[in-house]
Amino acid sequence: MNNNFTGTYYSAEKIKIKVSSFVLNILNNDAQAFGFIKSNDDSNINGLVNKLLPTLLEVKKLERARLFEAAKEFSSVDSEKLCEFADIIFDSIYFYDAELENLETYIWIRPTQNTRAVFDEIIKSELPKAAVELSVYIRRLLNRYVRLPQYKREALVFDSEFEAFCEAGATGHIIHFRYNGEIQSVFAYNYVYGYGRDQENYLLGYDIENRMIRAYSLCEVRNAKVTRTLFRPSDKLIDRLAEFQENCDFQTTIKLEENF
Amino acid sequence: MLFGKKPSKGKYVKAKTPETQKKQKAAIINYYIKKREQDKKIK
Repeated sequence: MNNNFTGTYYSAEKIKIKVSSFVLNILNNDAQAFGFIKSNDDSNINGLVNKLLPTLLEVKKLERARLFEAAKEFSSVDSEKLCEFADIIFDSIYFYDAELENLETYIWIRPTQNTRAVFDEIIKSELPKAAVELSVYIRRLLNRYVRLPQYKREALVFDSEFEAFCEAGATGHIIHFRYNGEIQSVFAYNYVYGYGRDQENYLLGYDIENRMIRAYSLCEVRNAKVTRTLFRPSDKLIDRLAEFQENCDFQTTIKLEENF
Repeated sequence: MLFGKKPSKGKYVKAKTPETQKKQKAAIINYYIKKREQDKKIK
């Protein structure tokens, strides 16, 4: 890897990535579907990719680690070489360009304060392994991303919010997040993955302040934070939440009048 | 061409022109503008 080359890319603080029109269409679709929209209704692809990139890198590293573990079982003699070989195979299988090789168009990505560390990590640790330029590396991640169904893509884009909700559900702590501009204080009950024709992911919970059982669309959840406050739901409330989940009518809300 | 299987005959379609790309983008954006308006009406 030529350091000057990487440096040129990075110092410009704007990375040009050639992509196929198929990839661009999916990114346009997702930016619109997941709320990355500019004031003139145009898609904010830079915002979407910046939100997505840390998760894509994390997933790639996890998948590679699994492959290495499997490779090590076959050879304890020269596992390092085997892992290098496995890495090449891994890239050629999962991150190939095949049907996406017509790079008719391009996108511009500008690293933000939050993603600067991720770009640094890619440049320092990933590019020497992959032996490709930064733009090619990111294109490969995006090529992998666009092959996934929409509910999975949504879950990847909002991975931090999804993880926070799952953590709150597992520990029983109250979760706070912004939803349609309002701060919500919620008991996390469960989630529904890729539901219905639009493949939406829903987070089912109990809105503590408004005493409401409702389903939150994952892509509209922002700034999720798990608090240290425990919430102990009554059996009645759990029954009502289970009933709500079984009814599958996620557009409605249930106002609880009684003291649950 | 799904899941790594290439077609046995033929070749890839010609690259899309910038005009086609603009039309596709406009179609996607218009779809979601309408969808958001419908969602607002339902709410």
